[in-house]
Amino acid sequence: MFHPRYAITLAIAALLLSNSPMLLAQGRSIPVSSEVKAEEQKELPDVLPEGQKYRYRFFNGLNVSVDILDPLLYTFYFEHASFEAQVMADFHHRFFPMASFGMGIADETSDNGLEYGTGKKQEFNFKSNLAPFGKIGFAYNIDYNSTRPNDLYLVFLRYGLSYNKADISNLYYADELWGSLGPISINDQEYTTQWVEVGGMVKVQIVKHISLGWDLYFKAKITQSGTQYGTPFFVPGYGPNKSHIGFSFRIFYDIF
Amino acid sequence: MTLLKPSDPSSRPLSKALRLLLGACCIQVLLCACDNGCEQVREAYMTTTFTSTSGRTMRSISLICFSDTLGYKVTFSQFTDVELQLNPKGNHTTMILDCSYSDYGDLYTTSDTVDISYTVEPRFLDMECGCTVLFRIDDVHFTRHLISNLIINDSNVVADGEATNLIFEY
Repeated sequence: MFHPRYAITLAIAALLLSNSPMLLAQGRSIPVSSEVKAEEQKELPDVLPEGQKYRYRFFNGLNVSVDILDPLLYTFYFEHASFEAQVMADFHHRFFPMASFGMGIADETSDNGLEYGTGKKQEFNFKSNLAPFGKIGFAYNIDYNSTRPNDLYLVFLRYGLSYNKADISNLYYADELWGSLGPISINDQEYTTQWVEVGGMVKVQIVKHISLGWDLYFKAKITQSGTQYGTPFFVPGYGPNKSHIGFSFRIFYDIF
Repeated sequence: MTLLKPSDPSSRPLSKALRLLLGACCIQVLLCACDNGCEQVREAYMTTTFTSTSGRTMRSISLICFSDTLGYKVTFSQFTDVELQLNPKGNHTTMILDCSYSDYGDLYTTSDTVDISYTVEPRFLDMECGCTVLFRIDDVHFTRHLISNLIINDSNVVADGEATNLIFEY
């Protein structure tokens, strides 16, 4: 049966490959670094005219991006993922307010089969259906008067909010004295989570209007509700509940 | 030779993109591979403390703990932070305490019975550890041969709990 995961991967591959034949056929030679530098200096002067604070105008456009790493890993490796789209505005090439929205999913089975008390292997499952999340934040370009306007080096702060509902099934509890208790199910657990992310982002232009980039960040939860029967394994937009480092790989499209 | 602008996209963009993507996948897998094995305590122990309010000195306690048909016996001579296990498959556990104590130099033995009623709630920990349980102590009944009072200091018996749950006064 054709799994939805493969559709996501095919879509990403199509997006990556869509510009390639034309680009590869151009066959132009690659310049050496001194030639690139000379070309840069020709285009944009290193020193700004006196009294001019910014090299770039007030509003420089919008870009949208999607994280392609999580869907890709979900297809081949992980049993959980967050699908995220982000929009970012450019002011003076220095300030970048951003907002993102997405959906997260998890259907994770314990992969090691726990040797639990009785010595039997027990596999339990954490299932969270597609659930929404949103993030808003602000990025700052540390090299805002750079002569390379299409490459960005940003630091950012984001706030995230998500809601998900999960079922946990086939749990076992055992102690040496009283033996094994189970299977236990914890159903319809509703979690609301707020968190913050602080990190850095790089955006590098690949072809006209299309850029790729990473963001690597530290994340920490502010509040999490609905944890009467334990914390969730997965939070949409945040990732595994116990993680504190986040990483995404984005494909950007510059709208104008 | 055609000189390219710095941001000109034609310098093998596909290869550049795939290399970036491959690197990103490796980083992500490495980040997620850190969680390995359960490092949390799963068993929940009820912590008890015995305190003298009458001037008697406890020598030892032999304790039989049972719930339904199952049970266990333990003997101890240190009377603070004694850890006992409640039965997760039941809703009450009975303890029979055979106590040996001295009063003004004379040795005595006596018995008391303590019946603890509780509710059991599962707690999900994570994908490595599975679950633990929380015992919520609802009620305690006891005889008063040696024990003069029993205080429920913390009614929640949890795996990583640090508080004393029951304080026996004698």
